[in-house]
This record gives sequence, structure tokens and C-alpha cells, in this order.
Amino acid sequence: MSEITIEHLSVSFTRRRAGAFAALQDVSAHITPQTFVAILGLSGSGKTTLLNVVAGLLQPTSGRVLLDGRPITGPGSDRGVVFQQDALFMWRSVVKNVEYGLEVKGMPRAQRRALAEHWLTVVGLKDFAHFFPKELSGGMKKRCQLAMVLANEPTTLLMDEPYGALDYVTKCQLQDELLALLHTTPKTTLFVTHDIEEALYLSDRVLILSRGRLIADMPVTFDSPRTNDLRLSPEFAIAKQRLWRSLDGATQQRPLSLTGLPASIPEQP
Amino acid sequence: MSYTPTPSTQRSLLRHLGLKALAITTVGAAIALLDATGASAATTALPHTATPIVTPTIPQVTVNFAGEPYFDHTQYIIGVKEGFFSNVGITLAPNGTGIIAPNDQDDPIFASGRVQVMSASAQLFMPAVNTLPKFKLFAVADLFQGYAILGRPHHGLKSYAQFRAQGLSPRAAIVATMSQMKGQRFGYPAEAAIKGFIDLAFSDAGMTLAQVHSVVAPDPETTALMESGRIDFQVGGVPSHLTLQEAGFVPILTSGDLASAAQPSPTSTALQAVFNDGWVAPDSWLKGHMDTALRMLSVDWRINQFIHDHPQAASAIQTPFLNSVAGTKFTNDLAPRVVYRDLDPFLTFAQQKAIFQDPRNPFEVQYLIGSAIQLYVHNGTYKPGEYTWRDFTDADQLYAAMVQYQRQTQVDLAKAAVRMRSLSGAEARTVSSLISRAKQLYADLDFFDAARFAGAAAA
Amino acid sequence: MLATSRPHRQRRALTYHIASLVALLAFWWLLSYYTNSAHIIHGASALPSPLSVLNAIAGLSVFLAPGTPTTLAHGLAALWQNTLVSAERLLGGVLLGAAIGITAGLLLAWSKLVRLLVQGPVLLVRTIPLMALVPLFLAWWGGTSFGILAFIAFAVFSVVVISTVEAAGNVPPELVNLARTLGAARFRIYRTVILPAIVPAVIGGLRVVIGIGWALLLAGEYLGAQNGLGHVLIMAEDYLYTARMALIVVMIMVYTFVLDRLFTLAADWITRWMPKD
Repeated sequence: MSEITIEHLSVSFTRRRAGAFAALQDVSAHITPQTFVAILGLSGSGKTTLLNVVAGLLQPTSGRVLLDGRPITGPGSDRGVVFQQDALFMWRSVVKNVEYGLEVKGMPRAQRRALAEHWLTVVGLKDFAHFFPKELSGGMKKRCQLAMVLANEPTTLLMDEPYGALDYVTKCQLQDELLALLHTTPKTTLFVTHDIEEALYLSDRVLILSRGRLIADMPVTFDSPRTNDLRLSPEFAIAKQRLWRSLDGATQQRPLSLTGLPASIPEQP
Repeated sequence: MSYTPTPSTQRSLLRHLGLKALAITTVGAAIALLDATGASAATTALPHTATPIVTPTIPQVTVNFAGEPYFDHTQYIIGVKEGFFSNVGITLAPNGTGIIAPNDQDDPIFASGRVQVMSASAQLFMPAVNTLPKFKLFAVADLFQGYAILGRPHHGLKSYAQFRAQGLSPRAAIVATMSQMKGQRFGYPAEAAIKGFIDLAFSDAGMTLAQVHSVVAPDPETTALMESGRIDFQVGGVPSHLTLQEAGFVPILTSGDLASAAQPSPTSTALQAVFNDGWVAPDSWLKGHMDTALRMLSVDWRINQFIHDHPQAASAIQTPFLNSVAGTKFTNDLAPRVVYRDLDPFLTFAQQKAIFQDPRNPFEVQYLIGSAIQLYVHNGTYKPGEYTWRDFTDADQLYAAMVQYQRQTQVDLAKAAVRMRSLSGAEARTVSSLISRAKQLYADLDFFDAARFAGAAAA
Repeated sequence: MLATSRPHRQRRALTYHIASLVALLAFWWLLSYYTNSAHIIHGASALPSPLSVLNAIAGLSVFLAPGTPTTLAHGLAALWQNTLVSAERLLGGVLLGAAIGITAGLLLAWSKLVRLLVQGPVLLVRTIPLMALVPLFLAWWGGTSFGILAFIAFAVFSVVVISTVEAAGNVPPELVNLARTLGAARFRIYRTVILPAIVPAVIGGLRVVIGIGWALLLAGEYLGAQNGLGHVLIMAEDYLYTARMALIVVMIMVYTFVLDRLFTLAADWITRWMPKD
């Protein structure tokens, strides 16, 4: 299951110099089970804050977030988080990283090793099980993180700009792998990104945050399975243009000048 | 005068009062703490009480002990190996031998409170009196008089002792001895204590250092210069002294020589270079263990007697032990030739009378400690009048008490011999064994326990 | 790749190291020959020659037991025996100090209140000049092996506790958050995240102490040691055996080098997961 209900969520931080700073202001949204939602925004828009509240790593200042109708009080293994940084235990081998969550659950050694190896096979790291994270490439580290989270069998997947630091081709590969994976084991997914193309390509729905407010909520209706051809299609470009406008218009308040696209493309109602 | 000159009155008290009075007045509260066994030795002098014969026992005690890695502070090993300590129920701890406290570590180790008895020089402990636990020297082993001017052999040199033997007065002998150095090359270190000895030797001889060619250098240098014949006379610390004397060089004037020529007075600066080596204990421990202290004293005498009677055998025990703790290479023949004879003459029970009960002897304990107090007042360590020699030693009182026990033993043994004539059977056997035990302890110089056994036999 | 040239370069570097060492030894020999040719006292002199230092090994025989004959074999045995005693104290002190330092550091990092209360005094401890503590430790534990062990442990503790608190504060927060989202509770996070994450920093701190480890041991063995290399050195100093003093100094240099290599090997293995810059 796992449906997420965000009700009038506000989060503010107190900073020593700047005083109170509102990271999120009165955000409400309802996310149905097994939907892939991209949270799009520029730096400082509050998207990571939103993800952290859902992960249970941050407490709301006001409002609340419900998971299957129950308020979130802290982190839990029902919500797997893939962090922006290479969050791996450097001192553990790849397979031991994947086993970590299972260790916490108290699963016997043989069983968790088998399960970890299964997930490593799924993400294509079977042959690297006994490597240390430092020996992996950037993309492999992301795969390892994903396997680590998936081994815990969460119902919700929370991803915080996971592919931000990767080169374009690798990023595209990983996106395809993620879609294929979610196709076989569907999960409610919140995917934070500042990459318009990524948001469009992956998600069923895009939430746009700007300065802590939810300024747009758009469905994405491209057919599944999505392939790289989609990235080059005109309708993808148009949707991209539309997202760009709302993102840019909301933050910069200045006319679009770089796209070279005709101004006649219809706006989202 | 900064100290209280009461020793002579105390000595006369010792001679004229009975044993019980002695126990209370002279050794004071400390001796009074002797348990019922000690007290019974005094009270059972009344002969007509027909009580059952009580056989005294010597308790087994452990003493936390520390020595220093030098000849004058390792002779205790002879007492360990020859069983003198165990004979009077004493075991040294740890390991049956105690620990070794190297050069500058003796003060802090003593201050740590982990050591009950330490073989040390009282005078070298005295400057630290304010930081150490209140301590007292209770047994004297030897008088360190090891600073010596050494000269080359076979050069017709005469020593102070030889001049004295020719009939010269002490002062004339010093002048004659020192005159041999005029115009000669003389090596010595910059060390203050040794410089004090040199200054004293020159001033006693009416000379100045300008009358010799001074070579001021560390001991290894001057020792090497002596061995290679590039200087004629040398003074150094004990290691260089031992090295040179072992190589045949001869002492012509020692700090002991200067001291023996000095006035018997705490104001004699010549006495400041002579130290009372012996056993030092915290006052608090002494107060509670006076019986153990008396037994330790008897062992001290037995060791010294053994060294006196069998210097070769003593060295065969002591030298390898010292070598094993200090890593030194002394041969067994060095100690009998140099250490036991010149450097640190260990004093037997009979010889110790002179340092405790002879006011005309400059080496009397009150003068040696008194002169050290004068030194420490002079250099500002003590305030004038802050300490008297009595604050640093009870050795004279323990000596006096033992002499009393010795006499008491003689008296009681005579009584017991009379009593034996009227006894028979089991009683006779018991008293007889008490008598022989008392005699044995008496021979072993443990007059304290001898008196207890003799007292029981005479009761 | 550099793979082919590396062993060659290492061999060449080793040749230079050996050549310079030999040159130094020769210089030492000549210097001692010219400054001390007439100054030999019972095998010792102000600047002992390399040969007299080697000869000093046999002289250690007497430390084995009273009456041991002086032979090279006995001397080596005595050297080995005292080395073992010293090494035990050093190792014991390092382990004890590291254990207490890491535990205390983790406790400090656990609670903000405890940290505020204790961090000041702990930082102050770091500023205590270690050598000035020798007499104090001597007064507390003089004459016991424990005193020496405690002295080294204290030195190690004072470095490790600071390294631990700092390292625990520098653990990347996302690693803690990762463990939290995988369901780990606080104690498990300490055990499985903080503790392994601070290992490199603690090793870095330890490396500083290990570098002066043998020097600390010698200072520690001034605490009335009854045996060990420091004891041999103190006695040699007392009786002016300069060759023996030089021998112990040379041995300490060798041991310091060996210990440093062993420590580096062990540290490299323990932190083999660390990315190399």
C-alpha cells in the first residue's frame, strides 16, 4: 500500500544569523500508492526538506505527513532512502553494505547473504560483491545504494537527487534500470531532482516547489515502458518547455529567452 | 644553637632507669607500643609467681623494602641470602628482596608510601623533608666517606693515614698530605657536593686552588686523564673512584679523614661530607612496628658482622647481586679491598657504640646529622631552629634499647640457670629449650627476642 | 602505468638509504676514533665508537641473573629479555590508553551535556606536558610496572580521546541518517557506524603517540623500573657506561623504526577501505 498524505506541512529552521527560515510553507499533497512522484525545484526550494520529513529524519514545524493514515514519527525501514551523497559504509564490502538493513532486522547470516546477493544481481553488481565501495565507479555506487535500500523491501522509495553527480549517459542508464526495477516491484516513489528531463522521464506526476511553496502539480502521461526515444520526441520537448516555464517563471519572473521555441505552445491550464 | 642538646641527659637516664622506665621515657611512645610480649619481658622480672610457662613467639612479618643500586645500599642482600631476616621472622617484599630505587628516584618512591623501609643516606633525604612523609633513620649500616683525592701509585705518595701513623697531628697530616699536590695537575668535576669537599681540604691545609693546575671536567674525562697519566690527582663520584682504585690508584685524603680531624660538633663543616647510610622508615610505620624495627636492627648488625668477619664471602654474595641490578662489572675482590675497607666501612654492633654513645667522636650521629642541618639552614632549605637532629633519627635510642635488652638477657639467663636446678621433667625441658633459644638469639644479636625468651625462662 | 618502473625505483632508493647509513656509520667511527683515542674507560668513552657499542652487548649479561658469565649470547639474551619487558609495557599502555580514550571519546560524543561538562577538562589534559608528569606518576606508582603502563596509557589516552571526539563529530551525517532509515537504533549506530568511521582518525592520533612511544617508555621507566631498557639505561647513566647508553639509544632507534613500520602495515590493512588520495 503506502499512500502518503501531506497536510499543511511547514518546516522552519532557526539560524543563528538569519533568524527563522521557512524551508517549507503550507504544503499539501496526496500521493496514491505505487505512484512515481518527482519533486522538482531549484536549490533551496525545500524539496530535500520535504523528502526528509517523509523519511522521518525531520519533524514538521506545523502540519503533518501521514503514511497509510498514520502520522510519521521517525525513520523506518518501510521507507528506503537513497541519498544524494554516496552514502555507503566505506569500511564494509558491497555485499555487507547491502546486508546492513537485514542485520538490523536480525536476519540470520546465510539468509541475509542470499538475499543481498539476489539484490546485487538485480542491480548488476553480482561480480563486485566483495569489493570495497572505494573500488566502485559513481554509477556502481548508486546501484549499490539502491540494492542496499531495496534489500530491506520498503513499500516507499525516497530518492534525493541520486543521479545528480553522474555523467549524462550513466544517468540515463540508471534511470532506465530504475524504471525497469519499479515495473517488476512497484513502490510509491518520491524522487527529488532539479533536472527537468529526469523528472519527466521517470515520473507519473511532478510537484514543483519554489521557495518552500508548492507552485505546480502536473500529471505526466507518457506511455510505459519509456525508452530513450521518448527523450527526443516533440511532446517530451514541449512538456519540458512547460515545466521549465513554470519553474523559471515562478522563481525569476522574467521572459524565457534561451529555448528558441515558438511562444505559441499552450500553457498548462 | 639551633638544636636541643638533650642526648646526654637521655643517655644518663638510660643508664640509671630500669627497663620499664626506659620503655616509656626514652624510646617513648614508640617502645610503649610494643605489645604484651614486650611488656611481659619487663613485668615478669618478679620471680615468685608460679604461673604456667608461656613460650614467646616471633611473628612472621613482611616489610616493603627498597634499596639503591650501590655498594652501600645493597648489603641487605647478604641478610636475605644468609637467612638473617627470615631467622627473625622478616620477609622483604616484593619478591623476597624488595625493589631497587635508582639514583634520583629514591625520594619519590619513598614518598609514594609503598615502601616501609628504605636503605638510604639520611642526609640525602633531609632536604626533601617537607615533601616526604616524616621519616627517621633507625639503623645505621655505614658512614659514607667516599669523596677522596686519588693519586697515582708508585710515586712515593703518602696518605693522610700514613702521615698520622708517623705521629703527625690531624691538622699537620692534612697539610703534609695536601702539600704533595702543589704544582701538580688536579682533575675534578664542577659538582657542588664534591667542590665542597675540595674547598674544605684546601682550606684545612691552608692552600688555595691556585697552587695546583686545575682540570675541571666530567668524571669520565678526568678518569681517562688519570689512566693515561695526563693528570696527577683526581676527585670524582663513587663510580670513578671505584674504577680508579680498582686500577691501582690510591686515595690520599678522604672526606672521612677530614671529618675525623674535625671538632665533634654539629658546627663542623667537615662533617657535612659524611653521610649516615642505613635504614630509613616513615615515622608512622616505626611507631606501629617498633618490635620489627628492633629485629631489623639486629639483622643490620649481623650483616655488618658477617662483612667484617668474612669480607670475601660477603662480596661473593653482594657483588653479583649489585651487578645484576645495576649492570655493573665489579669483580668480587673489589669490595673487600675498597668498599668494605675505605669507601663504606660497615659498622658492627660493637663499633656502633662509638657513633651512638661517644660524645668525643666527631662521627657521633648527632654531629653528623646536626652538621647537615647546619648546611641546609645555611643554604636556605631550612629555617633556623626548624629541625633538630632528633627529628631525623631514633637510631641511638633503638641502639640503647637493644643494649638494655642485652643486659636484661644476661640477667634473666642467670636467673633461669638458677631456676633450672629446681625443675624436672617437662618443665625442665621447656625452660631448657627457652634458654637455648635465648642464647641463640643473643648470639644472633637479636637481644630484643633473646630478652623475651630469657624472661620467659626465668619467670 | 608505473608498474614496471616502481620496483626499480624502490631498489634504487634503498641503495641510497644504505649508502648514506654506511657513510654515517663511518663518520661516527672516525669521529669517535679522533676524539676518544686516549679516553677509553672500562670500554666506555665520551663518544663511544660503533665497535664499542657492539661490544657493550656482552656486558649486559649480568642483568640475566647474579653471577651470569659475560658472553655475547648472554648479552643478547639479556637485551632480548629487557626488550620484551619494555615492549610489554609499551603495548599494554598503548592498548589500555586507546581503549579508555576511545570509550571516553564516544561517551563524550554521545551526550551533548556530558560533552559540555567534560570537554573543557579533557582539552586541558592534552596541554599537560607529559615529561612533567613523570615525578608525579613516580610518587603514585613508583617501582611498579603498572606505573609505567599507566604513564604510557595516560599519554595515549590524552591524544586518542581528542581524536575520537573530533572524529565522531565529523562522521558524515548522511551515514548516520542512512543507518537510521535502515532501521538502526542509536546504540547500533554507535557500534556499526560511528565506531568504524572514526578508526582512521584514531589511528592518525595513535600514529603521533607511537612515533614517540619508545621515548615515552624510557621516560616511564624512570618511574623506578626494576627491569626493561629504561632501567638498563638509567643504571648505565649512573655508572657512566657510555657505550652501553649508546647501545640502548641505538636499540631504541631500531625499535622505533620497527614499531613504526609494523604500525603502518597494520594501520594500512585496517583502513584498506579508505580511498587513497
